Amino acid sequence: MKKKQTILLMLLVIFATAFSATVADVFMLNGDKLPSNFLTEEISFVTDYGLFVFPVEYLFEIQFPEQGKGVTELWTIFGEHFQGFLMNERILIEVYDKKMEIISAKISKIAFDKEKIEAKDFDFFLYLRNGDAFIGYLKEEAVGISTSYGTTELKYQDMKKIRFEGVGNVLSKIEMRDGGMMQGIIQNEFLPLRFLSDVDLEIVPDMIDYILFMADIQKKTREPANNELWAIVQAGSFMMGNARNDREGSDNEMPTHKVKITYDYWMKKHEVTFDEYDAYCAATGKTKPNDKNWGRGKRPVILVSWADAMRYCNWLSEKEGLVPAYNLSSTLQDALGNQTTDLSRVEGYRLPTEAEWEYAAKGGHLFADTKYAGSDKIDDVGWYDKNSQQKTQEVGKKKPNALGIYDLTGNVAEWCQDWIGAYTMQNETNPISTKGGSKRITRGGSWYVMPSLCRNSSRNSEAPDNRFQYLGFRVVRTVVK
Amino acid sequence: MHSRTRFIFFLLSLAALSLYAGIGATVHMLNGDALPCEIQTEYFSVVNNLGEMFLPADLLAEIRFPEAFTVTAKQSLTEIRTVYGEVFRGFVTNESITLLFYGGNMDIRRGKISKILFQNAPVAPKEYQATVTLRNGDMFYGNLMENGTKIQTSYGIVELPFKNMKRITFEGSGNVLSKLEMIEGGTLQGVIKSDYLSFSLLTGIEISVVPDLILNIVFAR
Repeated sequence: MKKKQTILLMLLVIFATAFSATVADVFMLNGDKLPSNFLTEEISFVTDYGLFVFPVEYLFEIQFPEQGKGVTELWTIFGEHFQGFLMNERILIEVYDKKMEIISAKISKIAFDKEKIEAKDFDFFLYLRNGDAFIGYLKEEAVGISTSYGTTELKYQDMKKIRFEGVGNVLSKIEMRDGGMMQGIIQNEFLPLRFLSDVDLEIVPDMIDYILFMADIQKKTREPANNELWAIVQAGSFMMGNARNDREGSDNEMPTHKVKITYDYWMKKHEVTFDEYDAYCAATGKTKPNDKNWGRGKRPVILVSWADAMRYCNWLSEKEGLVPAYNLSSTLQDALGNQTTDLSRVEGYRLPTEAEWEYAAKGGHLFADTKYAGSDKIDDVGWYDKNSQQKTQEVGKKKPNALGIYDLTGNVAEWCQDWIGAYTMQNETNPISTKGGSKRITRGGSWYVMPSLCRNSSRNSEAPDNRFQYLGFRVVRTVVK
Repeated sequence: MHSRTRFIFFLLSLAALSLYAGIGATVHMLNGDALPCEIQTEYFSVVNNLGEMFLPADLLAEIRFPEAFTVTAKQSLTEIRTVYGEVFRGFVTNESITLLFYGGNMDIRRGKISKILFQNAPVAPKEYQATVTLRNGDMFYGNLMENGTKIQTSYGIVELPFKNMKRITFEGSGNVLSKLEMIEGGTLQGVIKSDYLSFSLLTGIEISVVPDLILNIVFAR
């Protein structure tokens, strides 16, 4: 009897676990917050490409538009993003042990108490042109392509990426795993797919931006190519600004404030060189920047604008099969192509934020309280106006800092991600200045300036379109978990 | 078949044919093609935050799909205009549209269309009680399906008939404050007690709208 009771109890526990309601915070338009058991089991959601019924256990967040302007956004626990309208007129919740039916149109946001899950065993990531993105399986094995020289059928398993361009007769650029490339028009009217959440979808190519196939996706967690050229900067905290009270510090380095960086990132050990930038120009047909007759090779690239630097980062990302860090509006995007300011979710190569740059310059998790990046003596670590012979020098010729990173001090000043803005005393986590304006931050000083402007905490800024012979850049990449 | 029966059958077929005669329109495709045709699809299903509406093709003036789908969320809605000048934004959910094109029927995928310009002549709206403008810019004409509504003011609850109202303006979100202007010049401020206001539209559709989505209701005189 005792054994039977135990089995019954176990079954009850399993039953209770399986059918327990999802917990969620429901935020109402009037500001009320209702910590709830979410009793509605399925969410009907209509998008411009179909109606989906999502089991609630797959949902992460639903954000309703302010005052009905625009569309509702839905995120799944796999990080998928959908924009459309919620079709459930009412939602059933249990608040403080009482059931309550609430009108969906009165809700501002539903945050489900779920952890994001790393999707596994799927065929593709698919990004739509409107910013929606999802993960799933292909329901067919191949697709017909009509090129200007003939028609063929290609298997998805041989593909690395398809990018769709144009409208109407959508031109598809297909990159194959073996390095092959083909351009043509996909003959199928639509592509039949299935989401991880078992929802089926048929989608016309016109709506798709690009599809990344599984083997390509697996590269994402890998280290950068030539990883010996990269330093890992571990998450941590530091005092940003002139925390040493250097006499030559400027007002814009104050007030000092505590900054926490919650993710690890790779930083290239040296500034982007002419060799590297010229390879990019050759691959993309861009004009190579002038070297002022100082020589190219391992000297840091100069005469590049902020946008030039950004485009180089995106090219590097695409080359390594990563989702580019910048979208068409030059705004940061996450691994699913959603615009973001959360740097921990940006997958591709990008420019460092000002905080990331200064944290690395100060030794990151191996903090060293030096004036310059790796020393109090500038001649040990950097090229500046008095020792540079008034030009750039090959990278990596001075001592690196504690992280093994060269030339953070001097040689060329380095474009950063942020727009210029004044510091405040507030503690910050993963700060990024996105306010816009007329100038972007540059850091590190250069061969052209005096030592005080090459200090770790010294700040400068330039109009993003400017190209100077003392200004280059360095690349970073978040270690995406 | 008896000749009289055949004649009746012929008449019925003729009637059916004329009943389902398509609506003249030009369908503009995403690749730039323009197809002068007759739309055979009788209803367009439109989904937005008011729910799902079935708009008859013979009352539509224009459907404009988002350009190339390469737009921000706010702009990625399809815009539908009726012959009365009403505007709705949402998604057209018909998977395909059937049209008669140079004598042949053709099914085209909705996702390949840029816009549809119907040849239906504009119609001046008549016999409607109110012009409703939503906060997202949508606008329609219709009749309220209730005679009045209860208003919770700071000094009490009052039930007011719509026929005495000139205008209702809605402010805030959640506890939506409504400002009522009455025909006789009276004004009241309060919260509309009804969860929804229900309208019967000139297009024959009935919809219920939460006050949070409405900008104002102007009553016709």
